[in-house]
Order: sequence, then structure tokens, then C-alpha cells
Amino acid sequence: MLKIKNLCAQFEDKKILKGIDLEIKKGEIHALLGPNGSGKSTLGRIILGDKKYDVTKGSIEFEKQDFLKLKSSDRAKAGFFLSFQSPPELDGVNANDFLFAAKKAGDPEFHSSFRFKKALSGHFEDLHLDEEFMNREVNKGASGGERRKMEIASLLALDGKLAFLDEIDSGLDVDGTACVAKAIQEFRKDGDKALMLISHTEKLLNLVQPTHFHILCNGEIIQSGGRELMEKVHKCGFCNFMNKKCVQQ
Amino acid sequence: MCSAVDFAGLQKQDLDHSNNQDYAKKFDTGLSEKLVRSISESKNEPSWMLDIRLQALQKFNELPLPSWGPSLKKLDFKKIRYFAKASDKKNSKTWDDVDPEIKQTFDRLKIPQAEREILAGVGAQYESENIYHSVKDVWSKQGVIFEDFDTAVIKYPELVKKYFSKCVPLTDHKFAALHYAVTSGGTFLYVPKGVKITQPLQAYFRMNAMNQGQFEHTLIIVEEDTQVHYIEGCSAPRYGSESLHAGCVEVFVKKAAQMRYSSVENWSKDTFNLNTKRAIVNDNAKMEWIGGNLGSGVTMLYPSSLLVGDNARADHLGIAFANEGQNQDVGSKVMISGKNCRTNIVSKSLSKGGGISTYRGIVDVKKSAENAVVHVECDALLFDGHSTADTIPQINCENESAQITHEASAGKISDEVLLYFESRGIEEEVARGMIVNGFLNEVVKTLPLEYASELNRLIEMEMENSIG
Repeated sequence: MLKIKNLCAQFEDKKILKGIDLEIKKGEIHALLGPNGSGKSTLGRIILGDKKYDVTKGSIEFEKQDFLKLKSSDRAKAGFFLSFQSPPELDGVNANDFLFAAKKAGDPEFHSSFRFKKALSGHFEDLHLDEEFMNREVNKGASGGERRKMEIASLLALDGKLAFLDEIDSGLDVDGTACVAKAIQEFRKDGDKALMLISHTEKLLNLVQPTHFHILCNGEIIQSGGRELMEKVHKCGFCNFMNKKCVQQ
Repeated sequence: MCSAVDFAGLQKQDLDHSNNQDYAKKFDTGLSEKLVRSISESKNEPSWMLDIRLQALQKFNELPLPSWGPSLKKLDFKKIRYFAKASDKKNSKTWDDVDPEIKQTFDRLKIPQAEREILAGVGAQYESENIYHSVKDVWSKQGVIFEDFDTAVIKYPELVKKYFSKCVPLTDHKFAALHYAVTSGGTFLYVPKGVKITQPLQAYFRMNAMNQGQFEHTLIIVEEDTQVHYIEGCSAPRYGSESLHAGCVEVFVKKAAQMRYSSVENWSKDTFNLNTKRAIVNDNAKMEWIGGNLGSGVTMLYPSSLLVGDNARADHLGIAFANEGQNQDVGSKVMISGKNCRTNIVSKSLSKGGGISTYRGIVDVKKSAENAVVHVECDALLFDGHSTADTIPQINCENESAQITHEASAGKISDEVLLYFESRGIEEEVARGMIVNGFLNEVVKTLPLEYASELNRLIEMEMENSIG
């Protein structure tokens, strides 16, 4: 579904990604681990096409389309969904209108507002969000937890193909994390979706059970593997990992 | 909600279409005493009206142009045609009696349709005179008078004389003086005690010919315990040569009355819109000014409320959109002398393509104004680096018991917000539209649905090609 080859990118003069290779297939769940500032969030934003960053080398192919040639809105329409780590407040735009516009952008034929509203209120209910939330301005004065849930509700409503979820569990309590994990299972229930998770907590990763793990350090994927990678990181921390001490043990 | 009045479907050509203007050749340009006398004579006015006109003309010649605000250098008083009628048929009571070409213009603007479906009455002015004026029977039977202003001078001289020029004096400023000298057309609305008009009344002002001037007078008297919503719309085709609008609105809001005055102003970009609007608000009464200023090359418009009664209230909600070549100098003036009065002023401005928008406002809390509550909020949204937004608020307070708050914000649409919209598949242009609608929502939502969608449509037209 997603094929990234030798991706290099920079912000102004600073090199941020230094040759990323990554492939994500249908049905897979990937987890991206790494210390703060290693480039995890940036990777997501570059796949989306944030113009702040310059891609200097490499390619991003998504569902056989050259992503680097598409504008951000078209990448989203192709099925790439990025949850924001700090979703912005949208003054005067309520959640219902926002998601309706998003749905319509993806499918010009779409106009059944009643059915959409009903499905949406179902998602909100599953996430333990008040029904009144739909009429509230998006993220306006919302808590960290509410913002994460809005991201997940958007994911379910828009039904993308690959969800890149950036610290979707931060700021959530135990129940909130369980709720989000359940929503993620709901999203991938048909087996044709894929996920990339960035998370610093074990809780969500235990609930969702990724199939692939990657360690991103200083703009490079230094190691990929299975669940054992996560256990090593949690045992030894990233520092030791980077010194390869952990691997030798 | 399902309404057949679809202002949202308005197209540019509906607004820009110009009709035949041969009639205009019969009327001279430029201002003179002879012209002032002939306007008065053509309307068979009583002598006190002519006296006011002549005094005003003298005042106009004496008063200087304003020393502040946008430049009026391009306005050539000699080139303006101060009076013109396009048809000899005046004030028809049915649209079938209106000259077909003129009727078609109003059909395009969907006025007759709105009248049938959502309005209590309509006045339609074309150049200097009303071509149609009507109010539904149910309201006239209750004593509501909704007439063309010229007709009211003849039919209700005592009532008009009692109030005319008592709210905005002819000495107010140069353009008020000009207005009183050449005023023609406009609306007279009188609502007797206790009558609550449940549907809005609308006046629509249309200029058609090149270099035209329009100077309609709106005089509104709402007696005690009444409730009224008056909507004003205006537009004109564009010629690339200056036209002038110097209307005047006087509103008398009696005890415990609630008056809402909404306007959607969309004059062509060659128009100087130098308009004066003022209300006198008595005990327990409420005045609301809601305005969308989109058109005109230069606008100077500062609706005012004089809160003279106790517990009086004035809300001023305004939107200004300054596109390429436009200078929108708008604001609010509120003078408070009554006790326990409140005022809430919200101004939202958009500047794009080098446009200049300025909020210029004065709140004057007099010594007698115990416990006044004043809130002023000015927000500006800029589309690019070469557009301008200014805020010039002035608050004078002579009474220490007043609570006064002022908030102001100015900024561009952030890239992060745009990326967030795009990350959900929403194109940049659509996103900008939604952001602008969201920014204006606080004001737009106070309009009836149909007029809210008209305003949104006009904004959408201004937003076209906003990326680049």
C-alpha cells in the first residue's frame, strides 16, 4: 500500500530524514518507536505533503500513485489519514460541518446528511463523546483527550486506507486508551486497512498488537523487527539501543 | 430548512447587469440651487422641505471634506448626476405595474420572490425614486405605515416634519448636508405602539446609470413595545467611473421597542459609499445594527446609537470585506447618557489583494451614564502580506462606574490550519471559504437564513481565485 524509498528531507538547512525505506502492506500494523526529535512526526507530515519540508531525494508511492506529485488534499483523498499530534482549533467551524465537507471532498456524490449524522453520532458515542460535540467548534477549548478522540472519530467517518496515528494515546486516561484501541480495531475489521502508530506508551501497543516495529533515530530507521524490539526498548531505553549495547546483550 | 428564495444562487451577472440608461441623458450632472429647487418642485414638496434643502446646500458649500479617513480626491462633485428617474411610474403597488426592464432587474435579485415568501413588505428604489412600495395588508390594518419617503412627505407631513433631520442634523458633516440638499426616495416606516412585526421588511436600492448619485432618506419610528426587523440591500453595476451614495438613516426607538436594522451593502467598486446611520434609543429599548459591507471603492460608514434612555441597549455587529482597490473605513459610534445601558460592538474585517479595512469607532460614556457596560471586539483576517487591517477604537469615559472591555485580534490564516483541512481531503480553496465563514459566523448567524446565504454567496464571489 505504501512504499517509501530512500526518502531524504530537510527543514530549512537541517536534514531531518536521511534515507528512509519503509513498506506497509494491507492488513499490517506498524509501530514507529524512537526518541523525541528523531523525525517520527515529520515522517507523517512529509507523507501528507507539509510544504514546510523539502523532500530532497527518494520516493513515496501510495496505492501505486506517486505521492510527491499530489497536493495534500489529494493524498488524503487517496486514503492516507494522518492524525495530528496537536490538532489546531477551527474558529467558527463545527465538527459536523467539517467532517461533512471532508466526506464530500472524498466523494462528490455524497449528500445523505442524515445517514452521515447518524453514523457520526454512533462514532462519537463509542468514543464516549457527548452528542453535543458534533455542534461544537472543532478542537475549540477541547482537552487533549477530546482532541485525540476527534481525530479518531474523523478516521472512522472518513474511512481512509492507511492511518498514520501520531501519539493518538497521549493525554488519554486508561478508559480513553481502551476506547481508542477499540475504535482502531473497528477501523481495520475488514482486513484491508493498514496502520502506522507512533506511541510512547506500552498500553496502546499491547491493546492493538502491531505486526511490525521500527526504531527511528536521528532521521534513520536503525532497526526493524517484531515485538521483541519493543521489549528491548522498554528494557534498555533508546540510548542503549543507539549504542547497540542492548542488541548485544 | 426549505425555502424557495435562493439568494445563494446569485451570480455575478445578476449584480453587474446594467439596463438601458438613455433616460439619464435628460438629467444634468453637477450640483446647483436650481437643481435643488427642481427636485423639490418635481415632488410637490411643502415649503419647509425646500427650506431644509436650501439650508443644507449652503452648509454643504461651507463644510470641508473630512480631514481624516480615506482619500476622497477622486470624487468629483461636478461629474455626479444627483437626480435621475428611469421611469415615470412611481411606487407601484404590484410588480406587474413596474416597467418590465426594471422589474427584470429586481427579479434577478430575487426581491419579488423574497417578498412573497418571507417578507412583510418591500420597497424598491431604482436611481432616485422608488418604483415599488408595498406592505402586506395584515400590517397596514394594524396601523403600520411603510411608504416611499417622498409619498410620506405628502401623505403624513406632520409626522415626517416632527422627526425628519432630528436624529441626524443637516450640519452633522459635509455629506449629511449634501444628502439633505438632494435627498430623493427612501423609506418611511412607522410602527404604532405594541405592534410586533413577525416578518422582516426590506428595502432594496439599485443604481443603474454611470456616475449616478443616490441620496435616499430612511426614517423609522418604532413606538413603545414594538418589534421590527428592517433589511436593506443595495447594488449597482460597475462602469469604471465614480458614483456616489450618500444616504441617511434615522431611527427613533421608543420605550421597550426592539429594532433590528440589517444591511447587505454591495455597491459596485466605483462607488463612494458615504452613508450616515443613527438611532436614538429610549428606556428599555434595544437597537441592533447588523451590517455586511462588501462593495464600494471607498466606504465611510459608522452606524451610531445614542442610548439616551435608562436600560437601553445597542448591539453593533459588522462585517467588512476589502478586496483589491477597496478601502473599507467602517465602525460604530455609541453615545451613552442613560443609566444601566449596555452596548456590544463586534467588528470582523477581511482584507485581500491589497485591500484596506479599518475599524474606526467611538464609545462615549457620559457623566450621567451610571453602570454602563461596554464591550468592543475587533477581529481582522488578512489574506496576504500586502493587504491592510487597522483598528482605531476610541473610548471616552466620564463615569467611573462603567465596565469597559476591548478585545482586538489580527492575523493571517495559518498554514497549520490549512494543512489540517487538507489532511481531511478538503481543498485549499474550500478550506479558505470555510475558515472565512467560520470567522464571520458570529455576525452572519444573526441574519435570517436566506440573507445569511446571500451574504455567504457574495463573500464566496469575492473569494474566487483567492489562491495564487
